[in-house]
Amino acid sequence: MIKIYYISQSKGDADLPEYFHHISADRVINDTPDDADCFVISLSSHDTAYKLISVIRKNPKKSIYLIPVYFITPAEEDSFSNINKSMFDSVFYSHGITKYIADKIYEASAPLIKRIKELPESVDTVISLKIIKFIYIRGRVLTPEMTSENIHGFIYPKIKLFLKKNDYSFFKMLDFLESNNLLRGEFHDIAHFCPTCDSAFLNFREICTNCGSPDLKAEDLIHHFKCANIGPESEYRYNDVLNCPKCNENLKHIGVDFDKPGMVFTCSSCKNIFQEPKTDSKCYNCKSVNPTENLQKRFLKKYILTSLGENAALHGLDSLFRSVIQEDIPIIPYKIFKRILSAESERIKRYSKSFSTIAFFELTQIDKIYTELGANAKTIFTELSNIIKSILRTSDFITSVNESVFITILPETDIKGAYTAIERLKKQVGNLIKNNTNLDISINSKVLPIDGIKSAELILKEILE
Amino acid sequence: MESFIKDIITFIQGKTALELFSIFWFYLVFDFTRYVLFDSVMLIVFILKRPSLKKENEKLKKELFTSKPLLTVMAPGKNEGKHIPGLVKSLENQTYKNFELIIIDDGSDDDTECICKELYQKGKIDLYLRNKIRGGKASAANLGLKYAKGKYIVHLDADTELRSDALEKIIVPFLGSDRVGAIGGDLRVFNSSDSITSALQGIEYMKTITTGRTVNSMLNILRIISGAFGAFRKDVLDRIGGWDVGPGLDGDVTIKIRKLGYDVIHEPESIAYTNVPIKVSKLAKQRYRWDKSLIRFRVRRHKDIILLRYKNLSLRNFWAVFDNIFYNLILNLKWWVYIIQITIFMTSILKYILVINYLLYFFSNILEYIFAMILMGKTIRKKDLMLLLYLPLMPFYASFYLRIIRSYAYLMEYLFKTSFVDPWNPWKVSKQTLDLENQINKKEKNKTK
Repeated sequence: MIKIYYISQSKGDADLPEYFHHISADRVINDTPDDADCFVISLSSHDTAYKLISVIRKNPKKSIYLIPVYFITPAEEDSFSNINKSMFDSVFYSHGITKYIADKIYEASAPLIKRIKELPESVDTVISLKIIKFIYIRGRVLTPEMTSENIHGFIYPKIKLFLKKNDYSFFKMLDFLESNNLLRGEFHDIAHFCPTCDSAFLNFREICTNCGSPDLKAEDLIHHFKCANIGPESEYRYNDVLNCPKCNENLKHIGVDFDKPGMVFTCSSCKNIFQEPKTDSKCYNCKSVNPTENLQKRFLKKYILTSLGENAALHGLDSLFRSVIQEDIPIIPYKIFKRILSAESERIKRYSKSFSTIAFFELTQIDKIYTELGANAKTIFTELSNIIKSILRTSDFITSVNESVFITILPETDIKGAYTAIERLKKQVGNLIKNNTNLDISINSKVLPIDGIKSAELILKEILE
Repeated sequence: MESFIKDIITFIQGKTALELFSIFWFYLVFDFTRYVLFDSVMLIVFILKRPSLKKENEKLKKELFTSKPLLTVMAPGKNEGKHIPGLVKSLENQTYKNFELIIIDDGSDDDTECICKELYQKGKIDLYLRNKIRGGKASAANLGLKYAKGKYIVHLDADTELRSDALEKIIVPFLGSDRVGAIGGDLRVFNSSDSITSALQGIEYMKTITTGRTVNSMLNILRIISGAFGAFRKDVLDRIGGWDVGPGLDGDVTIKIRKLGYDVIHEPESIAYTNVPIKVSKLAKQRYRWDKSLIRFRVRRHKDIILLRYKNLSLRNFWAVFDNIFYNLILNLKWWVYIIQITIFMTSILKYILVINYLLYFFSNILEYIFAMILMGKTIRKKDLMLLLYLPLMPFYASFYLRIIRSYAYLMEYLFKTSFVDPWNPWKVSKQTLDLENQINKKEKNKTK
């Protein structure tokens, strides 16, 4: 059964399904509950609604920021811009919730809720990860909309609320995600931006080729066939007729006795004559004037989540390697690893017959594999995983401290044997990286004996130092 | 061969002076008198006057470089883009720098627009005007005139290359007299070594432009300022409303300037080089177009001069048009009469007549070539000297080839007004111009009635 929190001014919305639970706006703003599957806001105040959805989306908890939010408003549909509509999962135009709307919400939210639940619990503070997860849940597509709300003239409404107000670094962030093959950009439109302040609000002007003044007079040229006279239309204009100033004949039909072979611009400031004016742009925001060729031309893209992006949504931006390696090798949680280490240490202390070792290895710059190879990174990670698997025995225990740091217990292995294993690991990883990438990835390693004297905590502290 | 020469000598010795005159009257009365005798006298006068002219010009040159009037150099044309960089370069080398360059693109459909825009952006062209729809040479020139800022207009063909002092020298005479309305530059053939056709035109230009126009200018009967290189006072061009629809607009505009009472002169020291057709067929087309203008403009449009109806008619204007009509039209017809005369009535001695005529014309051409060389002085190029080799072909070129084209052009224009359907102008322009011509004719007929 799903749980929908319902934020409404009135308490009298009768006949609500049992999965609708009333909650106050203040409660959501001050302490957003993380047990909701969906929020439904039914308020006449759009400002409060925006505030609520903003609080929800800005929350780092996956169980809060990802969940669907619906808005029921008594306002007319026209009063909503596409951007404002797109911030919510859906907007209903009604004076309150009805059974029809409740059913619709249930129907629409169910698949979203299901997908959200498939994702592991997380607290995501990295905005790019939040965006990836958000669009993974919602159709995998991010489409820009034109707007006058910001100086760029466009916005991605779905992710608007993840960003701080007036934070326009999302261009770079989306470019970064695209360059890392997490998103695939498709042409949507093209736009010009002020090179000084990045504003899209530009006044394009035709200007004089000589003095740059926009005060121009444009006139058609008229060519009178009979006498070969040619000049601006104003010279022919006499009352309401066109009369040739050279031969004094009235012009009759364009194409028959005269034509208009071109235009001429006259600058009111410097009297310069020309046919093709220059163009410049004046920025509404910073007032700077720039030739059009100096403007920043940018392709506005529609972004589509790639399979690598999906992977990142499921496993996090940094844990692709970990998710791959986990398919082949049972990586045990750090806590359990610590207990096993403690038991092994006790065993050696008691029997004083065995030699076990603990080895630490760290793959440096593993993130660069990700950046350089994009979608192909998974292949390398699989190969890396196979190498580690071939070197470790089934009796060995392995845990990961983070994406690139691994610790392993090698039972009944002396220091020499542990070094040999680590050296083989280094050599094989080195060959793999050298043959497939231009990166310089090395392995830092450390080996310590489990002698039964030091506690598990002390051993781990020493090895991680 | 030897016996044939002996026969010719015997033939000449056997005739009295009167008999010889009756056979070779055409050459002796017209060609020799006008182009050899008269030109040589005028040339001697010119050479005698030259030192004082030079002195005067030096004074005017100083005045020019003090007052530095703005010139507008304009080159109208269609699909002339490939020539524009060369034109720009030859203008950059000019001794006189105070000019603006206007290029008028008359609806080019090649890369002219790209070439010109690039030069305009680099500041090599001051104004680039483009008619998206072709309107013909006259309207293109008038567009340039409309936006010209200069006191004087220098009209060029895009493929004209100027000597470094050409602009300075073509403007100087304007400063000498307010009566001067237009000045023609001395056009020479740039590609005279490209073919026999262009070499023959090289000699022709030396005779008709360097010598011919210098003499006409001295007599103040110059009737054409070539569009390939001519200078005009802007106020004068404005008064006559610029150019009218051609072909033959250069001659027309010159006559209109003369009608206003201005002098039109030739400046042999202001030199420009132009490219001429290298193929016989292309030359025939060009001359056919040019020659029609004598009927269209001199005989029809400006007949008020020859019929003495023009109210401000001056003797020199009458003489300018008369000289043109007489030597080109009437003598051309007379030449056919002469050919018929010797073919029918002197059949037995035809071969002697033709050979002697050839020798006489050859002799004339040598003399005319020498006259031109004297006028060209230090500006003679090696190419010009090499033209000497082609002089034996000149009698055939001038007496037969050019005369046949000219006669045909006159006939076609007179009978069918073929210049009004010449593809040189857009058809809609030609149609309107023909309608205008017919309207004028109708009005005149009604007046006469």
